[in-house]
Amino acid sequence: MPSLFLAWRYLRARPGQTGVMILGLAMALYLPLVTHRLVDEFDRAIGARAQTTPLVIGAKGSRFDLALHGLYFRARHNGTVPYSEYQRLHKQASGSVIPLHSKFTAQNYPVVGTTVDYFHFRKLRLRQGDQMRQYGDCELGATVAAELGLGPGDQILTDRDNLFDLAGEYPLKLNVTAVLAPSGTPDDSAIFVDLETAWIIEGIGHGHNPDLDHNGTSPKLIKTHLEITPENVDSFHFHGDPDTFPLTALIARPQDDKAQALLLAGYQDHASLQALKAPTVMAELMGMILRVRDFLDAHHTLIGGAMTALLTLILLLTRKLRQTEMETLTMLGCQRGKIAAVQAWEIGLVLGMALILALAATEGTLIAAREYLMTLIH
Amino acid sequence: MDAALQQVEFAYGDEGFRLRIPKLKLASGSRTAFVGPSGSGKTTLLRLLAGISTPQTGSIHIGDHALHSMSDTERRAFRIRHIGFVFQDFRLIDYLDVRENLRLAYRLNEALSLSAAVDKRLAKLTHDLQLTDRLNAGIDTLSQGERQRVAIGRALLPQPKLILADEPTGNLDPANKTRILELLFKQAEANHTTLVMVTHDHALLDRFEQVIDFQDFQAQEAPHA
Repeated sequence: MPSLFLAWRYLRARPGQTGVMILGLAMALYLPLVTHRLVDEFDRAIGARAQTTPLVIGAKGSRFDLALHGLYFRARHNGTVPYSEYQRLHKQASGSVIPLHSKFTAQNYPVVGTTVDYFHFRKLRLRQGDQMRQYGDCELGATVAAELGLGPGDQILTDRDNLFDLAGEYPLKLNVTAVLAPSGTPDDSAIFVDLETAWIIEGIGHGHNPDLDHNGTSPKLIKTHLEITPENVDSFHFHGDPDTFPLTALIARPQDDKAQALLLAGYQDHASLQALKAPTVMAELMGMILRVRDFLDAHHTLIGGAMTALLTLILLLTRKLRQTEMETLTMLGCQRGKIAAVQAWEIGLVLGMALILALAATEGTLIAAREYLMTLIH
Repeated sequence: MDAALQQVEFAYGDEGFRLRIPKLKLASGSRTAFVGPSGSGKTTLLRLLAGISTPQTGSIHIGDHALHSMSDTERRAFRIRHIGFVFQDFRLIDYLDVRENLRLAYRLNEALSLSAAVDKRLAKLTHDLQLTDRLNAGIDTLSQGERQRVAIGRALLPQPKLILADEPTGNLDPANKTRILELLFKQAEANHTTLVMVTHDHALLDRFEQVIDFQDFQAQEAPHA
């Protein structure tokens, strides 16, 4: 392959010139590649989660916020679902229903109050430790455990919603009992508690500290957070009507299409609640993102066109500069076809290296941006 | 290998330039100098002898081969096997090192195979040209004299029967000029190679057996030719 040999030697002898061409081309290739791959990845990630979550029920308001909240615990959805609604659907026995309470965070990771049904539904397994047994216990998603360096036996404090609201809820020190196996889903980045613990964080339930007097004040300590221990766990109790205790969403899995249609119909004219098909809503969301991608594609086409024109100009100028070299090769017996092949190889090598660089950069971006992608639906 | 031109006429398309050579003979193993002002057709005649250009009329014979009646492919094959070039501006490929420049004709042509015998010949040639230590050097690290020696080596390695040299000493200082010329003559003589050289240096002419002056285009036969 003398043509390849000569082409490679030519490019190698001009590292600056070759490098600039490769970088320029790589950038022109990288932009559309990374946009498509990111959107595809995003589509796949949110599509997969949505497909396994048939219906989400929650307070009326933004459909997107409710769907994202039910699927990712991310978007803060205003309004609540009363616990009685969960009980009502649970009793109907036309499928399964899972309650979610996700208003608070610990170290910026969502604290999700739910029941054991959620773990079965998402096929979540314990990698380390034991299931929650009492109020204040929690199970960490794999990412949370890895990033915070926590495991069974450790504790994690919930974040305070408002530092200046002295009458508001106190942070709760959660006891880590287990770490979940990685699932490659948003569950890896969540902290799971039972519903009662979530309500304690919200201030609906509380206990009595032996160090405090009967008025709830202490001469010995200033209360900065709540902690549930074997000594005080029995003192925890809830005030008010349990039927009105808040949930932030319900995940419903009707047993068949008919049950699903009836469930959806039941919420059509509901005063305060709505039910939505998660896959449909996420598809609408993706539709908007795809429109943005199409817009970007048009820009990338322009950039690609400009880059091609620039490269053509460079090649034409180079050809003129290399006229003597080509003539020498001809005199030494090189066929015109072979000279063309040398130039084709030069272009091919530059394109190939640019493509490899663009693909590597795209893969690197995808790895780096995978977590960031999920924050886009925060 | 001898050469004979008869009633050759060549013109470039629109440029008005016309070269007429009624008769020219180059004896096998001889040294011939082409002299004359710029634009008088010296380089054009080299191109005709090399088969890069073809005459509109007349005949060119190199040895037993009728160059004027060959196809492009045949002329290219003939050139590869029998003709070597040396240029005033060396025409070395700057992205190849000395060794690869010397081997270039073998890289470019399937008709020439890069064998152990060729590498052995290359070793002897580079020794004769005092380039042994510079084989892996880049072209831009060479002196002018070294560059011309590489160019001569490149022309000689395939053992051509005819060397066409276009002012090969034009860019060299006097010391290098003499040395290069001696090298070229010595190598040509050793291989019984016919040498044709374009030159503007009249001091060199007595070294040639035949001098062709393009000003009036009359073949000047040297007394002993």
